[in-house]
Amino acid sequence: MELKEEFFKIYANLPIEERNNVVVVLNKQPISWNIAYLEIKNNTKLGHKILKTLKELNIL
Amino acid sequence: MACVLFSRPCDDVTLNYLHYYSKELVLECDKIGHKTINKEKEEANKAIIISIINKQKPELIMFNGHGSPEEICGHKQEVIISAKENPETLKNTIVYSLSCSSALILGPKSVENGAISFIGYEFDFALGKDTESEASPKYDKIAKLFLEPSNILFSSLLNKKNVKTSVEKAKKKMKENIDYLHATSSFPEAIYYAPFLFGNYLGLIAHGDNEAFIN
Amino acid sequence: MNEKNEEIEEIKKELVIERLRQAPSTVKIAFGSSNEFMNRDELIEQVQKETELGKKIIKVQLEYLKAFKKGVV
Repeated sequence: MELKEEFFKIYANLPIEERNNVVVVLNKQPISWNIAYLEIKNNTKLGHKILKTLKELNIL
Repeated sequence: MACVLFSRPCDDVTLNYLHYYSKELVLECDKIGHKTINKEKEEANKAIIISIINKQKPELIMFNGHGSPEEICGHKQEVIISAKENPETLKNTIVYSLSCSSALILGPKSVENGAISFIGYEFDFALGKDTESEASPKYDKIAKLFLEPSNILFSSLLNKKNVKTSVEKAKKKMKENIDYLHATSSFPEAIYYAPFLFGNYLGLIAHGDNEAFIN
Repeated sequence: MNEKNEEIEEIKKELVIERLRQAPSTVKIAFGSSNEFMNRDELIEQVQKETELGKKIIKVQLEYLKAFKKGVV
């Protein structure tokens, strides 16, 4: 499964309150699951970086 | 009926919560008709506990207390059982250790040295607290989420269910409580307790004979 | 390789600090051999100082996040 698909699958099953929580910190910026979703969905550069980092952390 | 030993120190805030919650287990044990030996507060010390284990030979033991991967402690953090010093003390017993991470090293070591089964936690045990309860365990709805599964586990053992079933029941309750923390809107900080309760869920393990039970 | 591992560990630490920072100050946890309940700021301090307890807090938080992938929670 591609990382993007994997992320969407996990996101869909997250408790609603957890979606507001930080899932990754990049360049000292905390990023929530919700913001990560938007970035990844819109194929942004940040979205790609988020996916890469989540994979490194074994969250994906 | 079995002989059951409880070690229940109570010398700090955290242990006070464990002490309070395990009281109902002592009462249940007695009600069932087991020989109930309850050593609490300053009596939950090494000399008394080891003496009772050697003389009374309990089939089932519950340890409340602080701990480490190699140790279970009693009153004032005195080490009662240590993987290096006296793991054989738990020979021929089923043990439930509500002590941080004692299942990591002491658990398997005690089984190697004759313990029938050692149930405990491989990670540090976490306990959440409701700040509105003012250190009163009785009214603490958050602590209940963390300690209720532990009581379910030991109650199951007291009622002669085997180790595997008892651990499964506790994990099931932990999962239910995690789901509750995920979904509830009754207190805003609920979601922040979930990771810690999950750590307890992940860490709960039984070494030795999973089919063991007391008579 | 070691540098990469260190980078990952630093990311984990920052992540857990930011997750804890979101919690209300009323959150209280007794964890490990601590005989007191720690509040949010005390938990963060443990992580920042990379104490044994801080490392355990990081481990628990990361295991929780990984559990969503596994479908355990």
